[in-house]
Amino acid sequence: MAAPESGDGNNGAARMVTLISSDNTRFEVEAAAASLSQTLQLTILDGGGGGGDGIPLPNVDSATLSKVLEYCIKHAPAAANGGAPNATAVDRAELERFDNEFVNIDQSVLYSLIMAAHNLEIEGLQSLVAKKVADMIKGKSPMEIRRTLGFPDPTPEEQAEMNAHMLEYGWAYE
Amino acid sequence: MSMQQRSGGEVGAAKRVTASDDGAGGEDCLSALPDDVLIYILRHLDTDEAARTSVLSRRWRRVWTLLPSFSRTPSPPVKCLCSISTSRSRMPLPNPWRRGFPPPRAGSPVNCPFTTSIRPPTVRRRRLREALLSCLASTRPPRSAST
Repeated sequence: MAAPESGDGNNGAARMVTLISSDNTRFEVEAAAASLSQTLQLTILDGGGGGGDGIPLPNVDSATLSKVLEYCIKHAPAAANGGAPNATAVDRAELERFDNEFVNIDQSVLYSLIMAAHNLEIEGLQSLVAKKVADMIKGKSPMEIRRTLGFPDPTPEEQAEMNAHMLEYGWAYE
Repeated sequence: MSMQQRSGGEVGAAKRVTASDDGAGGEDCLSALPDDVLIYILRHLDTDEAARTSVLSRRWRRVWTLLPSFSRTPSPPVKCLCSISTSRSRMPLPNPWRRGFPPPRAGSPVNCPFTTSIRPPTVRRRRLREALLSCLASTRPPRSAST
């Protein structure tokens, strides 16, 4: 059950907080996990989110929030240990494996995730997703990037603009 | 360690998914994100690569110009000539790379200017600057991208 508490702060049984997504779904989660979000951490430190009220998150829908919390719950123990100085290599490998699998998802979900991570200020998650998107851009031609990222096909006018731009800055595309 | 989910309203997944209809026209979802988030993504790319995104669409023309700094791809360190003749390596040599370049790393021969990686900075930086100015000039000032 409860992971061994890492010395600091939380009184006895892990404190739970309730988060409410934009579509009114309530999520109950350990305060330690929710505190990975800088934004929520402040509210939680102020004693918010407990009991019946819960913290409303009007910018995050339930599908995204459950994904965000999945990340937070997985990463909370490592974060509580102050980064991971005393984490074993196995733990770290396990987290890495989790991260890799975690971002292996539909693009639209990725974008919702990075937006939520941005709003909630979850540095690790934002970085993880940004890296994934950056990897989708890396080493590709503009047209390939457009295709990969699901841009609509360029209009003839747009295409002409792209060509002119590429002619001018061909060096950047070598 | 568990997460309980109590449903208190209609599940709104459908609302979000509509934006992701594959293929069909309309703005793509990535471009709909605010500048802050796009910059955060571009920061994971080398500056050349980030500059390349300016060609993607008008929306992207100026995003890379908002990057907080330019990263220069380091080329591999060049072998130090001084390290061959050890007797001379301690001589203080003039450092032609002093301006704008990091000092030699710890562990490299003292005062040797040739152990820092030698980059071709000027041409690349000038081109980047030109591209930057052009991208800035070809677009309107920032407008919040929430539409």
